[in-house]
Amino acid sequence: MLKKRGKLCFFVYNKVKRKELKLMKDISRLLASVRRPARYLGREINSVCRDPQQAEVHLALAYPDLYEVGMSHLGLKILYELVNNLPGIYAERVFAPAADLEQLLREQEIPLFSLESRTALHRFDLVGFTLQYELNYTAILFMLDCGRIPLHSSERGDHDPFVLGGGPLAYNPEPLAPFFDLLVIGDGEEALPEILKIYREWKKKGRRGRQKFLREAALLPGIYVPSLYRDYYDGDGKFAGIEALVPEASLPVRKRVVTDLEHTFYPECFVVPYMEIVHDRAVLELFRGCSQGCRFCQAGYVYRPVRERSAEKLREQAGRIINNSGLAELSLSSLSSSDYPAIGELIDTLEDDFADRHVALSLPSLRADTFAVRLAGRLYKGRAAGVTIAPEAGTQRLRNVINKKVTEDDVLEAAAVALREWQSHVKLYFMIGLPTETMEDLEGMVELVRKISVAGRSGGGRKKGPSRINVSVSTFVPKAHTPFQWEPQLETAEILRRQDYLRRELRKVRGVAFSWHDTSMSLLEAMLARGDRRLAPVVKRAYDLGGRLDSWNDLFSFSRWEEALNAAGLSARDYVGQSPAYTEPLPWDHIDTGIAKEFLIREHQRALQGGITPDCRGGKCAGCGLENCPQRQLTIDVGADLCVRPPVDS
Amino acid sequence: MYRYRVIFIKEGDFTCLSHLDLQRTFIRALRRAGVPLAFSQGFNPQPRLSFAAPLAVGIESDGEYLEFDLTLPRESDQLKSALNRQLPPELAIRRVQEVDPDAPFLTSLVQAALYIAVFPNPVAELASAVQSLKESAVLEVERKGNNAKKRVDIRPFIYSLHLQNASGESKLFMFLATGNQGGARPGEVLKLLPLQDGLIRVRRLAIFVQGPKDYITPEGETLSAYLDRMCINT
Repeated sequence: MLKKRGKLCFFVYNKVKRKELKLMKDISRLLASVRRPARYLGREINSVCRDPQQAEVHLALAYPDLYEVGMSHLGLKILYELVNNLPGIYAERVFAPAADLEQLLREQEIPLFSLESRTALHRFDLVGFTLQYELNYTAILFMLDCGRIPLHSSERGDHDPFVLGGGPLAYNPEPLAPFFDLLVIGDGEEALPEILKIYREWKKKGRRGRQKFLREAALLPGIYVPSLYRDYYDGDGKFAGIEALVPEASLPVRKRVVTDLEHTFYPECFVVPYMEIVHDRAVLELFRGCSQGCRFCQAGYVYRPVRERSAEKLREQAGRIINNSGLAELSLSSLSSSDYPAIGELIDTLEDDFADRHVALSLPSLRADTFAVRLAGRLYKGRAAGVTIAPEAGTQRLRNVINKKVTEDDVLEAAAVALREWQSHVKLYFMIGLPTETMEDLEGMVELVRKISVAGRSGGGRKKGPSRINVSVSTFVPKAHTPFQWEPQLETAEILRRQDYLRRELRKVRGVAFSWHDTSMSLLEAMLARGDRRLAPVVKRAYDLGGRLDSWNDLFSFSRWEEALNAAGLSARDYVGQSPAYTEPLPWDHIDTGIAKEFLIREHQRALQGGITPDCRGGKCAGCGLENCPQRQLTIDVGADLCVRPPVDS
Repeated sequence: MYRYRVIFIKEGDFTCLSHLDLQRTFIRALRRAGVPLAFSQGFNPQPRLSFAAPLAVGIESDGEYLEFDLTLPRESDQLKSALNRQLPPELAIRRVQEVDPDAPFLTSLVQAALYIAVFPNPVAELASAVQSLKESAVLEVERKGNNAKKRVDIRPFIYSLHLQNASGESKLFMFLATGNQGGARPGEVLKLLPLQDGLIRVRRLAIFVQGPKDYITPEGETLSAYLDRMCINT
């Protein structure tokens, strides 16, 4: 039975085989004895319920975390609706079970199941994971294992599903290489249907010979089949490179880019959860990519170039999404939404359109300047929402190093507006351990927070009351494909010392609450973000030792990872403590983001000199080398005059 | 302003939805149905809508009541079919009726609710245990407050208990106080009984407000007439 758009559908029980019916009943029974059963209920409005037997290709879209996290992810919404609109293909969702359900599944020998038809994971044709966060890696193995799929691609037979991956962390896929049959590098809207087409042919021909399918898929641009490559090391055990083993395996693998976002598929029938999820709102994607060029930000490099949707298109999509979902909040999303050229007009139009329906608009990621904060202020009005400002570093010198083009005046004014004019909470994001950071920068951070606290109080603000300034300090993680890929992560002891300093000093500032990131989590993030294939057994071992949803602080345990590293004879510091030479091979060199390595080197050097690189929207091409970029200028003077005079500390 | 009262069921897997989940689900269903919802005033306008009596997770119901205000009138039958298209059959709407928008919401009037618990394999002591509950003067249970646990006597909130045995299974009818003046939850009563084999299914049959002489359903049927009609002989 096919679903009609925007309508509810029922599962056709009588078409289901008896064995599956029993599984469905078993699962209904389980729902009665787990916490938050709505996580596993399925049957949401706009979810697609069909008879899996009728589908030519049956795909599971898996998110390696709990329902409320996975359902908040835009990429999953895009692919779910996109794939389900293709003839003959049925995509279902599957999320990680919480500990209580895991225990019941194991006790009662029930495999992990999809939400829609409650099909066991191992009965799918393909299982695709999105790779968003390093500490989700154990959850991937956890889900495969609970779904009865062999963990290593080499152990899978003709009747096991193919395990696919994609998303930002696929840009350094090596620590996961042995577990995945195939990875999509870059945008998935075109690549995934191409893979499914090849799969359908392979299945029609009797689904024999996994290698045959994989080698054919490897011919598609942007497809990385890890088993068709080999990593090698020099005499000292240092990573030396990756080579292709068959002619089908391209080297490097160039990322996929959907060039025309305006005409690229965008979902309009969002699945509407029954339970509250992390981001419980409709989403518009204003543009993909970011032109700011913050040097620590992997998304800012790998999602290039900037591709926008027109305001008219966004308006049409907004209307249909709200009508089909009944959601009461619409997020205008992108990596830096105040950079959208007609953002003011877009907000005006949408507010008019939804005036009588009380749909709240929100801006998730804004630059820390007054323009952006005034925009947010218009939207939040009297709502008790907080405003997030991300200065990232405490001094102008260090902000120049990371190319965060916001001045202290910007930050102060933005925070003062939020605190004074609308009595809002303010959340400040900083990083510690950035390249070249000294005590002076930390002092600057404390000073900046103090100034904000003072500016927020003067002019009739509340004298006492709960803290209205939340300072959140994360630890710098040097990421692949950024200018800081040649930078080390600060040693744990030093991070702890700096966190201590901030905790001590910020306690003295009125109205401030301080939060920080777990140092061992940051260490593992960095290790996995920069890792090579030798880390795969470490991930496996961490899972064997009980690692599940490691991204949750209360479920995370560093000792499991330490033991796993020891067993492999490796140390996390070896991966994160080095500053490799520009000439040294890096484990992600075979993945080509389209950005020239020379550009990253130039940006790294410019960072160390404190030089900033302008926003490349508006004709100031910085020469990153991206071929299909509309901003690209062929003759770039890479010399000093491109480098605008950076602001200085007063 | 026009007020509508919706009577819906809750059963199957959907008993796992919490009261908040249910609120979210109906607000979104109303929004998708495109009805002209009336909103509250203020900085953060919310639809004017009220559930009569929150139902605990895991309990089925024959009659849940939701009231909401619209700015324009709508045909009850049209509302019913428009909303049912937006809801799973386990939350199907049975009736929609227009009610007085100036009257208080039902939630402030609800006094009692009738539940049935079905024991598939009743233990021998069940009857005597129910009897001793009826005869006890005080029945203390533990409740979680905001911070601390506290002990509450639920005996005054248990209006009547009635056990029926038929074809190997036992049915316990519980008429319990509910609403603003305090109440007992069916789960609290069941916990005071001896442990049972198998899943005990609990269903709310009806809710009651204070009538002139007897308790009456929101539709005006007296408790005794309701029990007669449902062939529940007490």
